[in-house]
Amino acid sequence: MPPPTSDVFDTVRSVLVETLGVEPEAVTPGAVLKDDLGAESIDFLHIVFELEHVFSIKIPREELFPESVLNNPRLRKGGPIPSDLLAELKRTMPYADHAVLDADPRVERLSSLFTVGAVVRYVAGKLPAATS
Amino acid sequence: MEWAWIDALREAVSGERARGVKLVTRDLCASHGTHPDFPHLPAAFVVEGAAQLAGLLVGEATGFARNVVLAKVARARFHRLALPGDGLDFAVAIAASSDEGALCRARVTVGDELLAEIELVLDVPRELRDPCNRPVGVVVFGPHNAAIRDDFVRLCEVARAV
Repeated sequence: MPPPTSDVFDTVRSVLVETLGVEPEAVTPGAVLKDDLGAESIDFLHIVFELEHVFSIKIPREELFPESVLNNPRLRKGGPIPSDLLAELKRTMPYADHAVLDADPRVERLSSLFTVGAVVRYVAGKLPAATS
Repeated sequence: MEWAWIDALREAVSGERARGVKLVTRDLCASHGTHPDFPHLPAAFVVEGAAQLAGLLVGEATGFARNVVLAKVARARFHRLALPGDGLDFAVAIAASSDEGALCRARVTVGDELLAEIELVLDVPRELRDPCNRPVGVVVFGPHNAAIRDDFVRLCEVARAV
């Protein structure tokens, strides 16, 4: 049975501690998976598998980490993110905090979308509503 | 997979699990020069066995149509060394999978004794590139390893028929 929503953060933290080999204290809601926790590309696949397992959910390809948008050939290192791609990211990643990109829409800032908090909100949205 | 490390397959259930064995010989241990006074099989080669079996398991599930790459040794816990004379029994299962890859868990035993627990992430990349960044075609389980690939497929067919 999946854990209640109130436990989602603790469970996500456990998954990230295991998959990324980081200390629990480092896993805060605002921590960025790549920049703060050292996640590499293959870790994202590992994280998806572990989340699916511990929460008994299915995470469709591209849903949590939409590679097709992130690998869009129009995104050039050092360059700005075109406004239509920004809008696409907001549409495909409603669980992410887009404030950093709104203030500084550069490709280098894309990783800011992938925070622990974003993962927690995504997972919480996939779980059945908690019964009171 | 340039060389087949698993000596023989014992069980294969498509998309689920597989078992294979590797016999550890004194010559094999000595050839690696690790602790010449205390010959044993380096742990990395135990991981290699689990990875190859996992690769067969994941590859068969996709009809060997795409390359399967060991992307991450997520966890490896060893309870004892692999010594000359040991028959390593690898039991690998797919814990989770998608069209991007798979998470596999392996238990390696010698008789009733647990030797290692290993967790692997295998990637099934849409495109594989060589070190010079040139696209590489499907190369897994080529002619050199056709025998073990065919054995694996045969075992899966037997399991389906039972």
